[in-house]
Order: sequence, then structure tokens, then C-alpha cells
Amino acid sequence: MNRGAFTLAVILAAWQPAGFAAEPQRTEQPFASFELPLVDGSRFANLEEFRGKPLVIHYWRSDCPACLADAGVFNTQAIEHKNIGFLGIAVDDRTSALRFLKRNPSSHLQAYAPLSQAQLLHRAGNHSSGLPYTVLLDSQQKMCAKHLGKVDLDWLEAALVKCQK
Amino acid sequence: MTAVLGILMTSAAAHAQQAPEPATEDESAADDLMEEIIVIGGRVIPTQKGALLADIVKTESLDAAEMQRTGATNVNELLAHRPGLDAQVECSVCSARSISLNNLPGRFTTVMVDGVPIFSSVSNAYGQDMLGLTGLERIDVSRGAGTSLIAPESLSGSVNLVSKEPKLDALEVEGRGGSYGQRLGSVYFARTFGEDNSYSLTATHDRYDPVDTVGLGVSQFSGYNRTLGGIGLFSDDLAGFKAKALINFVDERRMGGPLSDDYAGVRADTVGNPFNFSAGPHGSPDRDSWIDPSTGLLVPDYDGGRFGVAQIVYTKRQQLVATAERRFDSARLRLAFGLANHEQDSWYGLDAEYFGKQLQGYGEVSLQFNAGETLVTTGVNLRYEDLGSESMSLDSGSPTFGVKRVDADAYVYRTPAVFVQAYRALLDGQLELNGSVRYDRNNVFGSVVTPRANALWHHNDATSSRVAVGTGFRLPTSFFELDHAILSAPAVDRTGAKPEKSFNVSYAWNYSDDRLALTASLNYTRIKDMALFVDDLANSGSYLLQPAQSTYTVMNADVVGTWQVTAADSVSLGYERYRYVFRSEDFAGTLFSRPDYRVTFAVDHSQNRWDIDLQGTWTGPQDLARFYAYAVNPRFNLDGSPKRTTSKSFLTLDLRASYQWSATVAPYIGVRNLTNYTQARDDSFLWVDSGGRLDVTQIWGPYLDPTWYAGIKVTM
Repeated sequence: MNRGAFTLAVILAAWQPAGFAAEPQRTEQPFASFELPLVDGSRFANLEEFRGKPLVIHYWRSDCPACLADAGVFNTQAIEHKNIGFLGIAVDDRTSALRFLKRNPSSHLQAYAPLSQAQLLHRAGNHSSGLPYTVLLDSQQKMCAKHLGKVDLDWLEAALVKCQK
Repeated sequence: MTAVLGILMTSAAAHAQQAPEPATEDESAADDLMEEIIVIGGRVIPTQKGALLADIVKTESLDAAEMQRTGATNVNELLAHRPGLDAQVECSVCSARSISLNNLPGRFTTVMVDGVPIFSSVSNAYGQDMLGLTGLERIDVSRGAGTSLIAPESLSGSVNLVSKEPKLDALEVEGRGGSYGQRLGSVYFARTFGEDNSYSLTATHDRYDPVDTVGLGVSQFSGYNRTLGGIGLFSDDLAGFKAKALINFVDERRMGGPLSDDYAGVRADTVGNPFNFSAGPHGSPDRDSWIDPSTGLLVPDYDGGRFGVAQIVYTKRQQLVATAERRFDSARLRLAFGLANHEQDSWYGLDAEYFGKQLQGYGEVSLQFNAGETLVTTGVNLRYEDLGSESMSLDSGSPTFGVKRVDADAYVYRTPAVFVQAYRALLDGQLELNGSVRYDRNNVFGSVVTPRANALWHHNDATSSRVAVGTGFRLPTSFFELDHAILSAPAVDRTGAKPEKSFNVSYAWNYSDDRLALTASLNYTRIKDMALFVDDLANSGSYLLQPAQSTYTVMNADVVGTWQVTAADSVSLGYERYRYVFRSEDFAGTLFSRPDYRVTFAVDHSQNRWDIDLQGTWTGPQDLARFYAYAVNPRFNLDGSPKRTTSKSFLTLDLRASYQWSATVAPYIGVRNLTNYTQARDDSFLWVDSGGRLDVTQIWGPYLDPTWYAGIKVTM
């Protein structure tokens, strides 16, 4: 066994990280509200417009390889789940986000964070400022799952089922 | 498997970029098991939770968006005209510029590359203009002496250039042209290879013609021809370390004075008068000479040719900066290394020739670990600086005229140091405290101890307050740019010099939400033993490098806010007010004038493919008589009248528009100084002393009239 494999074995044996948990987390507190401009500058996006249905928010950045891989997953899921809201939030400058979206067109709304990027993630339960980051809210706008890192399709589908209950 | 190996490196990335987050939540553990997570640097986050964990506690951070918005081509241009930050021009005909923090002299700012301090004396004079933006992720600014653990010689603060670590293959090409012969071409190429490695290549060529807006024939902004190159190597797993190495090259020629780029021709042109000294405000009554204020008569006709007022500076620099970090459970080991060779060949008209070679080195080993509830960072570093020079006075009235010297400003400093910092979060992270102390021992100046302390209180998720108290020191350098006259002195006596010391107290209040960011700060900085050259030729026959007789204190308050008014429009407004406390005669005109206040504003419209940015600065009056010590060294215009004692207030506006044509192509156009105010139309940069000698350092206002540029950026 090489050193990396050994390290992995030790870590996984010792601890099951929250982000990889098969069972998504659920909180009782309402998700922190936000008001962010869409990347095209046409209007603000906020939590209110998604009230009454589950919502998937994925935070991304243009220079993040895993975010690039995630983009296709969210595009497909947004088309397949019309009853669920999807919102992308670029934790990035607008120009970089705009270029990214021209190369990787999105099937759902895309906003960006011009200010307070770390605080935005912090309020969303991401205290490490790492990306990509995904949260799922139920129809009451309470967080029912979160995930730091590249999205695993099985995890996302399980979380979607759970959050619609 | 390799994916998991990658994760173990990613959290170290945060530390490498000096912006770590506290490892207090369960997600920090998740960090260590996630694949390819990137940690944002971000902007407007100087007081987010964990801010005091960093080796350099930043007060401002400027990212790629800000670089694009301003249209800046180098770090000096980017940092100019911001509350608490500015680029200080120190010479009209050589255009040496340095970064001023809290309106303190630019040489008191420590410039670092990825946390490695690798600029000093010679490289600070012209090198700061050569800090390109290509390949940078962001620039972190830390105002105040109490903010930096690893940059002790920052009397006013530090500027850290954080390199962009490629995560994806990329190619960026930019071409720009504009008035005054502006030509800028830059390339950034990045490629990932293997599973954890990447490299980047950067190249920039930048040129500008000299500028004269009043018909004097003497430039108020130097022309230059600059080539920058860089190679970056990055690995997330180099024997278990996350490592990066940057190699940079600079090759620049600049010339001010005559309006020419014929360097050889100008050097050979040493007779006659190609200039018109009667042009401009308070011009001389005669185009070939000027009034000697002591007699009221014209001095003999100028006969030095184009070379007589020329300043020609050739710079070559090679620089290596390498850092490596590794985590061991909860501990972090950091290794840092820097090496720079900076060569300056310069010809200062009929003043002096100067050929300097500065070798600078830096090495650091530090360890961060938990000691109970306290996070401790401790380490040692060694700074090495060797300035060797050859110079020759070309002043025919000097006792050393034509004598070649090797000791005018040479020095060798070796400074080992040990430092320790303790960080603790209390009240569930609502209160953060950090305290640090450094012990430096220099081979010339002996021991210096510099303590620092910071407290950060999070009122809530959006609002915080930070108090910092600290000291800094700087080893005084005898580099001749502080006073060219030392090159004509028989000797320079440095035995009376002392380390320059600063004491700083600052308070900052921050508010930040999705649409509004506000920062207000109060700063008090006192500098003691500021090093000055004193003309003691009449007594000892030497120039003396010695501490100022009294202290120099700057107090400032500033507030800046940005409001996202609509989804497409944002406005920013800033105000800064300064109070300077010093005895003018003790500094004999060695300080550069700074304004009493400034107002800055910006309007940004970003919709669909368009980005349009307007930036403005209203600069208040400056007490020229006080800063330039007219009382002991009066300054006169070329017509013999006294120089103005107070500068005018003025407004400058910059406008830039860019259009994202496609995913890869974005053309842009911009103009600087749209309001067309230049100092030279009110007050010439040239001045005459009471003995009728000409100088070039009457500096307080804009040097360029409206300057257009247009370019295209291709990003793949």
C-alpha cells in the first residue's frame, strides 16, 4: 500500500466526514437570506422567489476544476426536477463568471457575490470558504443538506428525495 | 486515491495565500478529505473570522476584478488613489514611484511576493514600478506596523503580491496601445500536469514615451521600455509539501529629462540648450537660463545639452521566491526562501553616474501548532542584503569630481531573527486575540525587539472591530536616492545612524453584507529616528547618515463604502483625512508633500456584456512650504518668484469600458485624467534653490494630461 492509500485508510477508519455522509443533515433554523445580482446584471436574486419549494444552491468559482465538473450535473438535474429550484452563486468576479457561463451555459439562474464572499459562505454554513459548496433547502427554506466538494450524483439524488419529504 | 492525496494539500493552500480560516468547525476536517476544493481569497474580508490567524493581517485585499476595473498596468497604478493607499512619485524626471501607506514615505512599505520580503533600497526606488499584474491572484495590503509578523521592516505596513496558482489550463493574451506611445503586451500561460502539479509562464512588454505638457522640453513623466518575465512552478505534493517557486526577470530602460528614447544620442549630447526654460507657469524671462534668486539676475546660459538634465536608468533584476508548506496533524511547517539580484546602471546628467548591484536573500522556517487552546506560530528567519556600488560625481564644483568611488552608499546587512505569535479565539470565536514579538539582531545595528498585538471583536456576522498596537523597525540604508549629493561628497559617515522605529495604533470598523461594505479606520503612526542625510561638509567634510532630531507623526481617519445599488450598478465613496505632526526644519525637505484630505468615488455599471467604470479622486491642498521645508531651503520658480506655498485642490477622473464579445475576447477602451488637470500648468516640477541651482522634485499633482488607451484581452 502506498503512502497516500495508507493515509486514506487511516483517516476513513478514524472519522466519517460530514460532507461525505450518506445521510444529509437537516437543520431547524431558516437559511440565511441573501440578495445577490444575477451575472447578467438584469436583477437581484433572493431567497423569497423560491419560497414554497425545495431549492438547491451551488456555490462555485470559474477557476475551480470541481466546479466545472459540477456544472453539468446541476444543469441536468435542474432540467429533470422542474419542481425544485436551482440557483448557482458564483463566488467570483463578474467577468470571470460571465466567461465561464458563456463556455458552460446554465439551465438555471446564476448570481454572483460582488462583496462579502467569505461571509456569504459563512452564513451558508461553510466556515472554511472552500468551493465548490452545495446546500439544499426544503420547502420551508430550512437547510436539509450541505456538501463541500465535488457533488456525488448519488448523494445529490438522495438529498433531493429527503428534502422533498 | 490520488484525489485524496490532493485534498491533504488543499487546506495548506489557504495558508500559502496568507488567508487561512480558523479550524474550528467540522468542515475544516471535511476540507482535509475533499477533492480539489479551492479556498477563496476574496475581497473586502479583512476582518472575517480567523483573520488574526494569518502571518500578515491584511486590511485591504484587491483581486482580479479590481485589477480589471482600474485598467492598471502595474501594482503602483492599481494601489494609487485609494483611502490609505497611494503611489508616491519621488522624482519628476525619473518617475520613481513607491507605494505609500497611510501617507507615510514609500520606502517604509515592505513589498513581499507570496509572503517573502525581497525588496529594499535600490529595488524599492525603481523596482516597485516593475511589479506587473500578470500572474497575480490578488494583492493583500496590511496598513500599520502592528500587522505583520514576517515583515518587520514595514514601518507603515506591507503589500503582499499573491501569485495565481493554476488549477485549470489557461491562456490569456492582452494587447494595448494608447497616447504617448503606450504599448502593452502580456501573456499568461498555465498548464496543469500530473495530478498535483502545474506551471505558469508570464511575459509582459510595456513602453511609454516621456511626457511634457507645457512645452518646456523637460519631461514630467519618464519614458520607459520594460520587459518582464516569469516562470511559476506549483506542486500540491512535493515530498509531502505544497510548494511553489516563482522565478521573475526584469529588464527595463527608462529616461526622463529630454523627450527622447535615443539613449546613446542623449548621453553624447552634452553641450548647448535644447530646452525652453521660459515655458510653463512662472517660466524664466530667457529660454536659455533662469533667474538666480539671490541676485535677481539670470544664471549663465544652460550649456549641458540634452544629457544635462537627463536621468537614465537601466535595471536588470532576477528573483527567485519559493515557499513550501506541510501539515502534520494539526501542525503546519512553512519553509520560505527568496533570492534577488538587482542591478541598476544609471546616469544622472551632469550630477553623477551610479552603478549599483544589490543582492538580497531571505530564508525562513516556521512552525504553527496548537498549545492547548492557543495556536502558536514560531520560527526563525535570516535576511541578507548586500549593496555594492560604483559611482562618480560629474559635478564640476565637487571635490570628488571625476573620482570613481565604491563606498558612497554600499552596505552589507545580515539580520537573523526569531519570532513567536500566539493566537486565541475566545467566547466561541467572537473575540480573537493575537500577540507577537520578534527579536532581530543585525550585524551593524545590533538587537531590536518589536512586539505587536491585535484584537478582533465580531459584533455579529456582518460587523467587526479590530484594534492593533505595534511597533516596526527598518534598518536605515545609505542608498543614494535619498540624497544624490552623497555621490559628490568626499565621504559618508554612517556611524551615527540608528534603526528607524515606528509605533502604530489603529482601529478599524467593518460592516459587510451582500450589497453594502463599509470600512472606517483610525490610524496613528509615529516614526522615530527617521534616517536622513545631513550635509556636514563644512565641519567634518562628510555627509552624515543620522536619525532625525524629532519624530514624524501621521494621524489619519478614513472611511470607504461600496453599495450595490442595482443588480448592474454599484457606487463606492471614500474619504480620508490626515494630520501631520513634525518639525519641518528637522526633515529639511526630505519628505514628499501629502494632501490634507482626499475624496474618492467610483461608479460601476456591469450588465450583460458591458462593464463601464468611472473612478474619481478629489485631492485636497498640500502644505508645500512645510513638507519641502521652505523655511530652511526656500524654493523658487525659474522667474525668481517664490514657489507656491500650498498646492491647489484638484479632481481627476478615469473612465474605462470593456465589452465581453465572446467567451474568449473582450475589447476595452479607457481614458485617464479625463478632467485634464496637470500640476505642470500651475506649478512647474522644476525649482531653483536660493543659490540658483536647478532641481526636479517640486511634486504634488498629476503629471499626465488625458491619456487614452484601447486594447483587447483574449482569455482561453
